[in-house]
Amino acid sequence: MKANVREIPANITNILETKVFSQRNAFKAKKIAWAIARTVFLLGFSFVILYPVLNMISMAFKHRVDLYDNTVIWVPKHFTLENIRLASRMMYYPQALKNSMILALSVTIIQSFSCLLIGYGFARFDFPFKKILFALVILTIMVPPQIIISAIYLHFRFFDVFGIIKLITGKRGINLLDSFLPFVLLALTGQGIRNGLFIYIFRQFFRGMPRETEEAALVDGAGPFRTFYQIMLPGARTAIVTVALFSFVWQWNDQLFSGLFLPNMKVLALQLNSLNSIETGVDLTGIGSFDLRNDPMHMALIKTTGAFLVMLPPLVLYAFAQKLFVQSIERAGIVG
Amino acid sequence: MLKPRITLERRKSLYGYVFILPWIIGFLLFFITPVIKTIQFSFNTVVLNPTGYKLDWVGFKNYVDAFRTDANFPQKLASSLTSLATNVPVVLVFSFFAALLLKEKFRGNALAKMVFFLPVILASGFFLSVQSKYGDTSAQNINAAIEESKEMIQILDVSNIQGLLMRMGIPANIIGYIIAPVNAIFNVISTSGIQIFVFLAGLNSISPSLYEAAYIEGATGWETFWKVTFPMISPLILVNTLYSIIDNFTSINNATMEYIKSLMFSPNFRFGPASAMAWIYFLILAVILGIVGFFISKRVFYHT
Repeated sequence: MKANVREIPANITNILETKVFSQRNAFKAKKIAWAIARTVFLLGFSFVILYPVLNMISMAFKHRVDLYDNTVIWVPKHFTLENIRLASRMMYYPQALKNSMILALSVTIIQSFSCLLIGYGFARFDFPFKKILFALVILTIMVPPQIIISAIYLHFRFFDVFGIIKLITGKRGINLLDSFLPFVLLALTGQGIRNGLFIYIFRQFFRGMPRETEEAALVDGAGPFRTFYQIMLPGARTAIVTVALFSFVWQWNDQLFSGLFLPNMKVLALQLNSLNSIETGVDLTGIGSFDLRNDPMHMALIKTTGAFLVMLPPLVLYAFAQKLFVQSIERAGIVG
Repeated sequence: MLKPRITLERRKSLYGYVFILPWIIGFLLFFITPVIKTIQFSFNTVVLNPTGYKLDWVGFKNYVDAFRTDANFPQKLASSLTSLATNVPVVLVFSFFAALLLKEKFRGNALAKMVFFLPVILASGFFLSVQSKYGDTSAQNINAAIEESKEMIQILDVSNIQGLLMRMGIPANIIGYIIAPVNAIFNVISTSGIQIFVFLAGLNSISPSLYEAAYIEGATGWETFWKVTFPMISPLILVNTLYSIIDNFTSINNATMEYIKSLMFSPNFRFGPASAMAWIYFLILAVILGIVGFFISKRVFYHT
């Protein structure tokens, strides 16, 4: 049976080596090509995203003289803080910043937590009417708030639960406008801005997590709340940070709810409107020694600066949260 | 010693209600009541008077009129549906691709993530009011913020591509063809910020042991993608699809939403017809979501 054994060539090691070597080379070349392609993609997308932002920053520090100078494109020749000073004075920036911060932070914390609980409830417990109730959660995402907001407004203008307050005080409900209570109540009950989406995200997230650890905890005698707190919560860090970021940004940028619930309070997203009113010529008394209305270019400059000022805090916050975000993603990856 | 015994099943279902109780309260108080009111409006003619409003029952007239006498509504509806059909798939594919890119390890990864999330901060809210001053209603689904800054660029930055082409003497309609794809990239990127991060969070929560197992079994990258990554991410594909559809439908820039809003706040306050149109619109949205959700959720893979 000697015919079956193939002869081994003398230079076997040599052949093998060149083959492995060329394979490794091909692998390396592929990797480098992909790295280049990836870099091109990322740079391209980043440019598209960053261009308007950079432009905005450049404008914020540009003196109005530079607007008429064709040689000035990005870096202003006359650096100035005048735009920022003017815009912040017209927007009552410090006061509005404080209000916006308190509002957005508290709403973020409350609604991330309430949506987390609700999402967990939908993901991990079986109870009658669960499917119908969840379909109703989807319904709350689908109905745009613009349609129903006027009715919610009336609700908080004359706030009353089942006529109890009317019984005690004899008045038609209490006025909750110009306080943060409407926002807190909406956030607590999972009805704030796009909260249905947050519930959905958490529910999907928990459904994708393995059940074993949870059942082990149950067998070891932990109640559902303890299981939630000690087992599920640490694992859900990624989803929590993601939701908290969205939640903060949407609350920060919200004009619809703020405009109705806080008619006399100054929050940043609304103060931007006061910059718009330059157009109609209101609000200029005592501010600035020149008339903005006669110079549309300068007016645009001030508006852009105002938008930049409103955007700045979430950007800065995001720069910090980003670290936590990436970290939590990586840690969650190991846990899972 | 008789103690009322509750089975584990019963108790678990009770706990479920405890977890979602806040939502039930909120839903009844802050959602269903306002919704009932708008449904009521849609069957009535709403007449404003100094002390409030008066309702005159008209039945289905508002609904019928939306299609039969209103010249704009069917047209706006059609344009909303076309934009849905073209935008949603592109946004989904792009955001998945971007999430896969961002998941890889390379230098500057954190920076890239930060940049990709920027549109979420830019996209919503306060820019819209600035933008509305310019009265640009033709551009659908264009990120208001970017639109705004483009206006600024057009006013202030003479070195932009459009200006350059214009000065080269190229006719405006040809410039339009050149600029349109660029704008499309703009729109897609700026509306997919949330989807990217939902995908990214999902990709990162896939257990590395699955990839290790696939690697040991000798799966290629392509196979690993379709057999591990794709099924594991499929629940989030469902989320993102539904979200993109809803986002597209309820966006303030959507043609139909815009039209409904303009009716509602018009001087003669046509609240009845506007509510009827809004409900027609939601019914269509619900049907689309139902169909799409049904087909995708059949293929979704869950651990449970």
